[in-house]
Amino acid sequence: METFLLDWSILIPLLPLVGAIVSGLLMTGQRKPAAHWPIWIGVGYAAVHSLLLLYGMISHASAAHGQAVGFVEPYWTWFAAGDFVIRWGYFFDPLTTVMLCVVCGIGFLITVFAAGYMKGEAGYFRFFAYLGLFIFSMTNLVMGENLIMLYLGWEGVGVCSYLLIGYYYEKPAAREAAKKAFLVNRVGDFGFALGIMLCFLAFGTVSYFGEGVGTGTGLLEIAGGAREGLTPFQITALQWIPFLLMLGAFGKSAQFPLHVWLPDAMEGPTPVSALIHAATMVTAGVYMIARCGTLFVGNEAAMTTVATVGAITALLGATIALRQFDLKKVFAYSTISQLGFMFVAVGVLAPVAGVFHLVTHAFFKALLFLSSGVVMHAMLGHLDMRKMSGLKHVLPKTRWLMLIGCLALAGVPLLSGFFSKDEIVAAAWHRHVALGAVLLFTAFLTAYYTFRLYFRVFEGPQLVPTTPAEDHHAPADDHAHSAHGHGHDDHGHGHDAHHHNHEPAIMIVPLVVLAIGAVLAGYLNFPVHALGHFLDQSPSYQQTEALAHSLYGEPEPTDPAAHYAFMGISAAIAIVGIALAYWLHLKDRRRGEALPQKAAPISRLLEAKYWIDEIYQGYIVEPLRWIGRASFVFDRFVIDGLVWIVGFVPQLGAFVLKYTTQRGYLQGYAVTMLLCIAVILLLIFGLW
Amino acid sequence: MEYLLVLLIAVPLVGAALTALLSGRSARSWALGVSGVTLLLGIILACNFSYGHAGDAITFGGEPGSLFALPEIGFSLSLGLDAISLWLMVLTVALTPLAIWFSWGSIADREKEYYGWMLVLLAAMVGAFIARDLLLFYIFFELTLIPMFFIIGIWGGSQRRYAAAKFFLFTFAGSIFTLAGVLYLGLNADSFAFADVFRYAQTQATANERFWLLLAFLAGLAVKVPLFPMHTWLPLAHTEAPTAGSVILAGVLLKLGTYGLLAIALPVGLAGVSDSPEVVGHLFGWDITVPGFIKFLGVLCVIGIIYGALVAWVQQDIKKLVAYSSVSHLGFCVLGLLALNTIGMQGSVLYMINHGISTGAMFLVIGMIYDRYHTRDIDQLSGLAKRMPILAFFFILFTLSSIGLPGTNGFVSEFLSILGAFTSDNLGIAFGAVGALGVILGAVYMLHMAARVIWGPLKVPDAHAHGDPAKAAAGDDAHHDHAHDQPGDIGGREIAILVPLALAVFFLGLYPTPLMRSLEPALQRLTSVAVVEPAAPADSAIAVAENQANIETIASAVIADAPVEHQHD
Amino acid sequence: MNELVLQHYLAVGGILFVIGLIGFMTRRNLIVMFLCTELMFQGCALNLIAFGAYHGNLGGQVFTIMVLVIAAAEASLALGLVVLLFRHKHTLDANAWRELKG
Repeated sequence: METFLLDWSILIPLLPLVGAIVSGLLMTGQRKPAAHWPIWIGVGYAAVHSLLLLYGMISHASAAHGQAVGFVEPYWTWFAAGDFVIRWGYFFDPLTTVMLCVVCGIGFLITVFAAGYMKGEAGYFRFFAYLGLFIFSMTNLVMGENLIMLYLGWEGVGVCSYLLIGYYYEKPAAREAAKKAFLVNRVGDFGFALGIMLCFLAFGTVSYFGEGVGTGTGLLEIAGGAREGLTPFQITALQWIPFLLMLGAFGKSAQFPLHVWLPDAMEGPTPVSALIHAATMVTAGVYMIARCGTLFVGNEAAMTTVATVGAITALLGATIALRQFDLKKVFAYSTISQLGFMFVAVGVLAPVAGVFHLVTHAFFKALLFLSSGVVMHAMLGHLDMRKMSGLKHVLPKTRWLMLIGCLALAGVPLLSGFFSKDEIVAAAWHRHVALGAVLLFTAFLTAYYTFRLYFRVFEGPQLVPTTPAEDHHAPADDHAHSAHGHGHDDHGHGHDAHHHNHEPAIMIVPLVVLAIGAVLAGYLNFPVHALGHFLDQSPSYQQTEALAHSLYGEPEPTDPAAHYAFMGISAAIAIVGIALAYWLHLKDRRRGEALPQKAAPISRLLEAKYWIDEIYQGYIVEPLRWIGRASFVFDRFVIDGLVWIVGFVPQLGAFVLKYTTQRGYLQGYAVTMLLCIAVILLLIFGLW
Repeated sequence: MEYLLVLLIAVPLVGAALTALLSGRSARSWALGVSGVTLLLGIILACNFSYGHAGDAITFGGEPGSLFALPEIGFSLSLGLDAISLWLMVLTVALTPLAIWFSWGSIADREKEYYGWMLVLLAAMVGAFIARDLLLFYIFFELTLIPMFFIIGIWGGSQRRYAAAKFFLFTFAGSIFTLAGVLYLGLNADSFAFADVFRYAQTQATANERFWLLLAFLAGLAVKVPLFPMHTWLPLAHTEAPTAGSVILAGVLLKLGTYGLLAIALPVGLAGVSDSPEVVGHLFGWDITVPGFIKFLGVLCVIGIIYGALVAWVQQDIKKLVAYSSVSHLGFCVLGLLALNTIGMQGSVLYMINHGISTGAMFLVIGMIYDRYHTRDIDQLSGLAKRMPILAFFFILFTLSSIGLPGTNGFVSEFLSILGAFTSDNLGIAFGAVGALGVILGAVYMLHMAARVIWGPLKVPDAHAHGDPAKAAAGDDAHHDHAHDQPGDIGGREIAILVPLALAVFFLGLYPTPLMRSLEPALQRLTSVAVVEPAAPADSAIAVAENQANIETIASAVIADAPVEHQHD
Repeated sequence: MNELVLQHYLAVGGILFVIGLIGFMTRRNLIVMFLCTELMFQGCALNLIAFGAYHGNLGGQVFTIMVLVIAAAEASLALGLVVLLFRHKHTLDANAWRELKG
């Protein structure tokens, strides 16, 4: 492993950050149309560096012959109070490098796409600055060498997500969605932060591997040690830590019951939905559980909870997606559902399958989102699949790209999604039949809703909306407000583009790369478990596995024949789902449209998304707000009232004196004085 | 070097006196210059400070026969600078020029008086932080009230008189008890010097005495902080004060309370007895112990955190919202302090500085909005990002700092305060967990405000509607050119005021280590008990024993027939 | 019996004082009230002299002279005030000035 790659790894987050500062603070006004360059350079550099790191890590790992490989690269002491010393430092192992390549590689493709997609927007520079900040945070998240660095990236991507969802800040829906995303994540982060604190309290450190892998100074190594070596308090803490950390993961990765923010997050520009809300940020929870496996694996209840929540979320997302009409909303619920698959994987001790699915999903879901972005661009801001149909001639390239993405998502054999999903389902089935069954059913639903969308939008009679959508953000929209001189230039390459070329190369080329990934990424781990073997050399994985073996015994080797049989079943299920979609949404659309009326209550339940938002609003937000109002009244009248009483008592005394003795009669004063003198005299002479 | 400490107080005081000689317009530049010189003095002191020193690295006075000493009562003009004082002093001298500079744009009448009072305030605040004599500290502590009283009462909003009176009386009422404590300690220790006073409290005073002294100091300091039930003066004072007043009030004056708790109440009342099971008092048949009392204070902090946040969430007036957020934030600060471990106390001191920066900056930004639209009503303002992108940038930046985003200053201090409480023997996991709930709520109210004021469709009050007759008249002439009488984005002066604060937000967020390293020995000195000092333990033990013997002799002589054992009860 | 002892002087002083006191409390005319205060002064002064003679020193007389001087100064001031008050309201009734109580 070349050390300079590690020594200079700080450039990976730093250059996107510098790019963000340059384009955010300097590329305003006239220089705005070039605002993507600093980000391209920064993220492009990060992608190249990540790939070099991956290459170096692969060669190093193969030389290590199955031993764990990991490098700690500390830079400076971020902050230190007593024993709580936090380094700003990075940790590199196979897991980190794979995640880095996903983040920076797909991140770079999406920034390229975005330069075409966002062209002429009033906030062009702002958008790219946010993207740079996002890459900065996300790379810190996956590279950080301790839980606080992870938390830094965790909250950082949350803020970037907040800013990007609220990119069209003048839309009330966008600002509410942004706020909701941040606050729901904060609920998760509350648990995460407490989990970190408990880790420190119990183990005295929050660094993953301390001074280095194998030194026994890191949190994961101490907690992953033999149970006999732990104090009773540490054992108790390990009962709680996984649940607290899990809360954070559920928030960031939009798992039930904290999934509500992700669909609303589609208010952001489409490249953001692709990058943050499909490919990278939302997978942070999976990364965290994979990274901290040793904290989880000793606690069976926690693992079962992760797997169960994952399965529930997978089913929930897929069922809601059945009755969505907005392209991006369908994919948002699909993302929730697919993240559920990944959580099942890490919950059933198959983190490799989880990360494998994370990688393939990053490709095909980014592809799907960006393709729907192209559709949205071409359809004047419309995304409702009821308003469009048969677009295969209008958007010929996009149609093929979208088809590849849909096939991969549906789990059609030989494409990437099939292999990774299949591994998860197999592992889940192995763990518990019910889990596997739920996932298989979800896979069927996935194939159905994916192709429902595809057949409705791209096949059938051609129908193109003619009027722009109300909240369409075509550059023309900005002319009214923009005070900048170049406003009219936008017209040339913004609006006209809608009518002449819906598929500019700057948008299509990144999609083609993603499509290639969506087709081929599956072969990373099939038929040879290359990715699996590589990831198995991550110290996190090795220790998790070792601990699992010592606690639960050696796993029985899976029968390859059974595995292939399983593949056959899940392929058949995907085909059936697609066939059903073909029948209901292309062949006989009227029957497909009549179906919801036949099962009206279920349809209403799904359209209302199980009323989860309403439940939160009604039973959590509103009561809290009422408590706030009541507290304010309490503050003004009770607490301040007590203060007022304290001030009032002397005033009352003054009033009494004013109206009893101080009445203005000279004789009265004389009498009072005389009486008082008399009393004093009596007291002095002891006659009283 | 030690004369710089005197200059730090003398320069602004003399500057304030000389303001009287100036004409109204030039007072503003004069005040900025004087506060700038004070800032320079502060920077020189910080550069020459010997970091890593546990005690006062720079001292002035304090020896017998030094300037202004009154040996009869044990008073002397003794000043000193340890790491805690240093950083709070730097905060003060850095924030005041910014506040004065901001006032250039918002204070139009009686300028001379205004800037004079600002300089007096500066002198008093710095004096309180660097005083090393209990009486001197008390004098400066109270002296801050007078300029602030006038700043709120003359240049404040519509309810300014009531607010000023309430602010003054409320804080003054509390500190009367503190004065009693100061005098009791000073007269018993025969000296008001911090070192002597602490030694007396830790080695000679009884547990009961120490507890009552702690209560006396709390009475004055908790109002200033403010701790939960004593906070009602704060929202009113903040709302009515002019912007610069709010900045100083939130940025520095509240820190006087926490600084007093840390540097005085802690060594007097808590050091060495924070885990002693000794009963120090009774209330309704309950035995009060010091650990129990710390837990009680911790509960007040936690209530303050949650309560302040919930009340902030429902405010209409954005300045009041930020004021209530201070109640919540200072709850974290005191919670970390009460943890009495290195992590919590480091977090607490850092919190003092960071809250000064973030909340001070937040008040400045709100002041800039108010100067333009003459309203702070959350319903009347919306979508300012459209009209004022630069202001929106700073608004969001300081909002994020305030909600503790990692990478900004707010995170380190908030996390350490909670972690301190979480790992503390005095408080424990439950306090940390409930405190952490405040982190969620902190995001709730700040983002609620950001969503309403900065994001959303543009809505501002009509420029003609507000009661500015000059502007309204001018507007009648020019109403065909409507775009021009709409206030624009913030200008060069305002940006220059906010930029240093923004840089501090990031610097303290990414590399607070040097600051924290310098604090560590100073904090350990505060929690350690005086008896570890050489020679002190033997002497004082004998003195105590002698006292005890004398008392017994006298007592048995007076009450001849009482059994001697009875005296021990 | 014919001898004048201390008690006789004290009795006269006391009677003078009480007359003055009763007068002060029952009359409302400012001048009469002022005169009554003078009576009380003289009652006190008589006591002082009597005690001075009884103890055989000059202390009582010194005090009395002091009282007389102050009474004279005060009389000039008080009468001036009374005249001023009379000019304002054309009455000497003390209760006419009740609003001065504040």
